[in-house]
Amino acid sequence: MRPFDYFEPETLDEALEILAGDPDDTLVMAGGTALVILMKQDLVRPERVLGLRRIAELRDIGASDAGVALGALATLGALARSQRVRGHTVALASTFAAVGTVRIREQATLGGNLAHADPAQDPPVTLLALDGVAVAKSRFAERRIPLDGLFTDLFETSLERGELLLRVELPPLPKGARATYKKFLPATLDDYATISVAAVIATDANASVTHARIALGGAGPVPLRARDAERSLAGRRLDDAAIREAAALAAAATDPIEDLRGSAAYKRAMAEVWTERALREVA
Amino acid sequence: MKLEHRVTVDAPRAKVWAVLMDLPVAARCVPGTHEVAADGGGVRGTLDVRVGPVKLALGGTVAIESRDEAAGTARLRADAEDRRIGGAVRALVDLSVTGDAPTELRIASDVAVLGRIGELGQALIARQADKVLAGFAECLRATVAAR
Amino acid sequence: MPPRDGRGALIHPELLDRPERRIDGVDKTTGAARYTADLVVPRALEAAFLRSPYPHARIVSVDTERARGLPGVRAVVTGADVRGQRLGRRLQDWPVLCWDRVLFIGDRVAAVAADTREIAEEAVRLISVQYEELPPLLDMDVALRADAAALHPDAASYRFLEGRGERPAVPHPNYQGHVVESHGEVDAAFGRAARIFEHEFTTPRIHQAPLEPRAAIVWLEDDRVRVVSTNKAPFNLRDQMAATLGLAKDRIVVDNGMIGGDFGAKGLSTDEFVLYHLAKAAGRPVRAITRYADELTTTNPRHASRIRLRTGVDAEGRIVAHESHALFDGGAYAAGKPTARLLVEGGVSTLEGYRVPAARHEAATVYTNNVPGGHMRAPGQPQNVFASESHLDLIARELGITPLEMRRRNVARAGDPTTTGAPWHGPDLAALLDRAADEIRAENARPAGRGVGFALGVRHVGRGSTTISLRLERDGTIEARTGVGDQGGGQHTLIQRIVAATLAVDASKVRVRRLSTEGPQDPGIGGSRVTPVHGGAALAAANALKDKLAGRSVAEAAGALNPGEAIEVTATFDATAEDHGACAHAIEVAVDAETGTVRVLSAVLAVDVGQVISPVGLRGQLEGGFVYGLGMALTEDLALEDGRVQAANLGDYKLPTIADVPPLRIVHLSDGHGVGPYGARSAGELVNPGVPAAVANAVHDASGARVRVLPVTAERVWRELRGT
Ligand SMILES: Cc1cc2nc3c(=O)[nH]c(=O)nc-3n(C[C@H](O)[C@H](O)[C@H](O)COP(=O)(O)OP(=O)(O)OC[C@H]3O[C@@H](n4cnc5c(N)ncnc54)[C@H](O)[C@@H]3O)c2cc1C
Repeated sequence: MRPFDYFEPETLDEALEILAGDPDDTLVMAGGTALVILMKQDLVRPERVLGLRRIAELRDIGASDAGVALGALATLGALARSQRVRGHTVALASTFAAVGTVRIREQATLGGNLAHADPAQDPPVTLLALDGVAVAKSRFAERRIPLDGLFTDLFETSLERGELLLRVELPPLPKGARATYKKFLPATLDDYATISVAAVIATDANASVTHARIALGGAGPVPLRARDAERSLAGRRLDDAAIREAAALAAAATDPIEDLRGSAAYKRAMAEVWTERALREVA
Repeated sequence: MKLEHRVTVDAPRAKVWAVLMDLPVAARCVPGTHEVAADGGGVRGTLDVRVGPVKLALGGTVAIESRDEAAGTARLRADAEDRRIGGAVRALVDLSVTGDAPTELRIASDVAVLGRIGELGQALIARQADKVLAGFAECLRATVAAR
Repeated sequence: MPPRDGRGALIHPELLDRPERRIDGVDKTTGAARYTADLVVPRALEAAFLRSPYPHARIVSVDTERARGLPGVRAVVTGADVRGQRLGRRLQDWPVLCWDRVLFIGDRVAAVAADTREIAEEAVRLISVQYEELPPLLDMDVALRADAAALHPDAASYRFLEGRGERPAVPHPNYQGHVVESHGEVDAAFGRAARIFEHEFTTPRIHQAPLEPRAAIVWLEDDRVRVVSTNKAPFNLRDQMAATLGLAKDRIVVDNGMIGGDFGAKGLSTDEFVLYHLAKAAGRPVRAITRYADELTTTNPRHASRIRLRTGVDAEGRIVAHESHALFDGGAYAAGKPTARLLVEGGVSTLEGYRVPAARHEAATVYTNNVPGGHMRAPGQPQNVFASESHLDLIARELGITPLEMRRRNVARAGDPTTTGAPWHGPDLAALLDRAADEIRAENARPAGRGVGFALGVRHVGRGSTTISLRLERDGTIEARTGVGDQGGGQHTLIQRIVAATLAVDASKVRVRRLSTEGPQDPGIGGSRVTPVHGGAALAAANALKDKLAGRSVAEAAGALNPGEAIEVTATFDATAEDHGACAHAIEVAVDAETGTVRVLSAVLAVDVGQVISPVGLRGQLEGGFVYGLGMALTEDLALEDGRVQAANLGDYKLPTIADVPPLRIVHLSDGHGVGPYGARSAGELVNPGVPAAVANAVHDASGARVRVLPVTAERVWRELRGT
C-alpha cells in the first residue's frame, strides 16, 4: 500500500465538502473490508481517502414513515442484532447475520456493502425483496434510488461522483407478510453464496397471494428481482404448482456468471431449487 | 478466454469491411479509448477500464495481423499494458463478415490477461472483456450505418 | 549405547501422562512470537520480483534502466547476472532468475532491492521485458507425446545433489521421474483372476496454505552469508545454496525464526538465492516477504494427478493382481522434490495396506509449463489413497459385497505380501477397520440420503539421523540443543517431554534451544521424521546424561556443580527401523440430492500411533490432519486456466473453516510396538491421505453418485446424479 492523504470528518456536510473538492480521485472508505484488500493488492491506489467512520449521524438504525431507515454506517453486526431490524422482519436480521464471519460483520457497513455491489453479497438481496430505497446525497442534491435501480453491473452502481449513501429506507410490510432469506453454501459455510434467494409473500383471507417479492443473489451481474415469477403468483394460492412455476420463472430470469462457485447451468438450476424452497417456507 | 459477438449491420458488405480496416476509426469504437493515433500500419492509444474502484489505463497498440478481403476475414492483434497495477492484456480478434446488406459481422476474440491484473479474478475480467467487445460491435454497427 | 531402534523402556509411564504445555503456546497466543518477517535487521532493504506473465516464452531483452533510476532503488539483478545458476532440493533445474526462457506464469526474471517494499514493487513495474511466446505444454499427455519439445533440453548438465548417485534415466525428456516396479507374476496372476476392474481418478493441484507466507533475510557479514529463512530444513537449504552459488558450505549460515505453518511448503526456498545477489550488489541486508497471492500462485503445490488402476480378484473378491499407472503434473521444475527418484513417492504404491500378491506400478512426474509441484503433507499419498480406496469400493459394489467386507477380505495381516512385495510390518489393520466400523455403527440402517464411507491409510515412520546435546546447569535446568525448528507441529515440546520423562524432572526444567547450521547436522522437519528421529536422539541424549549422573538424581547432580560448571552430553542417533502408523477412517455424510451438497455428519479415526508422548501435539496432528483432508475432499482446487492459477487469495481458494468440521471421534488402538522413542510412531502425515477417499465413498453410499475427480463438489455430485 502506498501513502495517501486521509480525511476523517465528523459531519456529513464536511464529508460532502471534502468529496466535492476532488470527486474523481477521492476514495470513500467506510469499514474498509472491501477496499483495504484491494489497496493492499495495489489494485486500488488512491490519492485521497475519505474515511466516514466518525460520522455518527449515519450510524442510526431508526424509524421512517412506519417503516425503518438503516444508516449507511451501521455495521452489519449491529443490524443483525438490532431489535428494530428484527421487528421489521427476522429474515432481514438473519440476512445480516449470514454475512462472512464476525470479524467482517463488526467492521463492514451497510453503505459499503451496497456500494461495493458484489452480486454475491447477502444484504442487497433481502433489501431488494423488501422494496428498499437508497438515499444518496452530494453537496448539491439529495436523491432517492430504489434498490433495483442502484445496481447497474458487476461492482457498479448508479451512484454518481461526489455522492454518498446516507441510508436505506424500507416501507412497512403488508400485514401478515412472511419473509425468508436462503443462502446456498454448498462448499464451506464461510463463503459467499453460490446462489441466494429472498422471498416476501403476503396473502389474503383466501390464502391468495396479494404481495410477492422474489430476489436473487449470485444469479447474474447484479442482485435481481424475479418479476415474472412474482407476477405469476399474483392472486394464486401458493400450492405446489404455483411454487414450481414461480421457481422455474425465477431461474429463467437469471444470467449467472460461471466462477469457482459453479457453472452458469448449475447456478441457474440452484436458483430454481432455492426459490422453491424459499417459497415453501413462506407458503 | 474466448468470447464471441455478432452484430448484423444493415449496410453493404464492402462498406462494413472498409470501416473495419480503417483502424483509427475502428479503434475509437472500443468504449473507453482515447488518444488514438495512427502508428505505422496500426494504431496506438489508451483504453480506460473501470471495475468498481479499480481503474485500469491500458496503453498499447492494435495492428492488423492478416486480412483476406475476398474471404471477408481478418485478424487483429491488440497488446496493451497497465503500468500502475502491473499487467497486460492481449487480444487476438478474428473478424469475419458474411452476407451483404444486411451484413453479419462476427467478432471472435481470444483474450489473455497477463500479470497482476489477473488477480482481479477470471469472472470479473471475462465480464469486462465481454462488455468492451459488445460495445465495440455495437459502435461498429452504428458507425457503418451513419456513413 | 542407546538401542538402535530408539525405543527405551518406559520406567515412569506417569511422566508422559503429565499435562502438556506447549513451549511456543504462550508466545503465539499473546502475539509475542517473532517470525522471520518480524525480525529487525538494521539497514535492511526490501525485495520485489518481476515474474513472467507467460507460461512459456523466450526472453528477448530486459531493460532495467528506468527501474535503476527510481530514487530508493539500491540494486537490480536480472537473469543475465546469474546466468547458469539453478536451484533445487535434489535436481537443480530452476533458474535463480530466468535468463533465456521462462517456463511458467510466475517464473522470476528480475529482482529489485529498495528502501521500501513499495519502491521495490514500483521499480519492478518499470522493468520492461520483451518476450517471444513459445507454445506452452499445459497438459501431461501433450508433454509426453513423442514429438513434444523438451522443456529442459540441457537437463544433462543439471546438478543432482547429495552425491547419492546419478539422476535416474527417464524414457522421455519431459519426465521428471519415472519408475516401473513389480513383484510376483503379474500377467499370469491377472490371467487367473475371476474378474478384472479398471478405473481412473483425477485430483487437482492443491496448496499447503500455511498461515505464514515464506520470508527470508540475507546479509553478508565478514566472509559469511547469513540467512534467516522460513525454511524448515536449514541444513538442506545451506547445502542447496552452497551448490548453486558456488560457495563453501561453511560460509553460509542458515537460521530460522519461528515458523508459522509448513505442511511441506517450507521445504522449498527460492528467494534466498536471489537475496544473496541483491545483498551483495547493495552491500546491505535484503529481506523478502512473499505476498500471499504469490504464495498461492507461484510456489510448489501438491501435484495434480491422474491415476489409472486395474485389479484382478478371485471369486471371493480377494485381490490376486494389481496394476497402477499414475501421472503427476510436476510443472516447470522438479526442484521442489527432494526425493532421489524425483517422484512423489507416496503415489507409487497404490493399494497400500492390502494383501497384493502380484503388482506392477508405473508412476511418473511430468514436466509441463504449469506451476511447479512440490511436497505437501504425505506427498503423493492422498492422490493414491483416493484412487485406491475409491477403486476398492467400486469393485465391492460390482461384486455385491459391502465395501467393509471387501476391505476385511483384503486387508494386509502381519507378514502378508503388500503392494510393493514387502511383507506387512506394522499395526493390526483389520482391528483398526473393525473398530472404525463399530464406532460409526456401520451396520445400522440409515435414512435416505445418508451414507458411510471407509478408507485405510498407512504411512511409514520416518527415518534419519540427528544430534541433540543436553547441558545440565547448576540451577537444575537442562538445555536441549537441536538443529530442528518448530513449525507449529510441537517438535520442541516433544523433545522437552522425552528428556523430562527420561530424567524424571518436570518439563518446565527443560529448555529447548534451536541452533543454526553452525550447530551439528540436522535433517529438518519432514517425512514423518521428528518423533522417531529427534525423539530418538532426545531419548539417547537423556540416557547418556543419566549414565553420567551415575545414579544421582538431576537435582542432586546439579547441586554438586560449582559455579560455571555444567554437565554436557551429546548423542547422535540414527533411526533406521522400518515401521508404519495406520489409520482407519469411517465418515458419515448426508447428500442433498437436489443440490448435490455434501455435509459431513460425523467421522471416526481409529489410529495406531504407538505410545503417545505429547497428547496435545498429537491431537493437533490428528484433528488437523482430518480437517486438512476435508479440504482436499470437498473444497480445495488450485485450478489453472491457460497455465495461470485462478485463486489469488484465500477468499477464492477455499479452505474448510471450523464450522465445517463435524464431530470427530479419535480412537487409539496401539499394539505398543512402535519403533520410535518409548514405542511411539509418527502421526503428522497419517490422517489427511484417507479423508478424500472416505468422503467420496460415503457420498456414493448416501446417494449413488460416484465422483472420481477431487474435490467432491456439490456440482459434481449433482451432475453424477443427473447423469450429465
Ligand atoms: C473475508 C470476507 C468475507 C465476506 N463475506 C461476505 C458474505 O458472506 N456476504 C456478503 O454479503 N458480503 C461479504 N463480504 C463483503 C462485505 O460485506 C463487504 O466488504 C462490506 O460490506 C463492505 O463494507 P465496508 O464498510 O467495509 O466498505 P468499504 O470497504 O469501506 O467500501 C466498499 C465500497 O463502498 C464504497 N462506500 C462505502 N461507504 C459508502 C457510502 N456511505 N457511500 C458511498 N460509497 C460508499 C467505497 O468507496 C468502496 O467502493 C465479505 C468480505 C470479506 C473481506
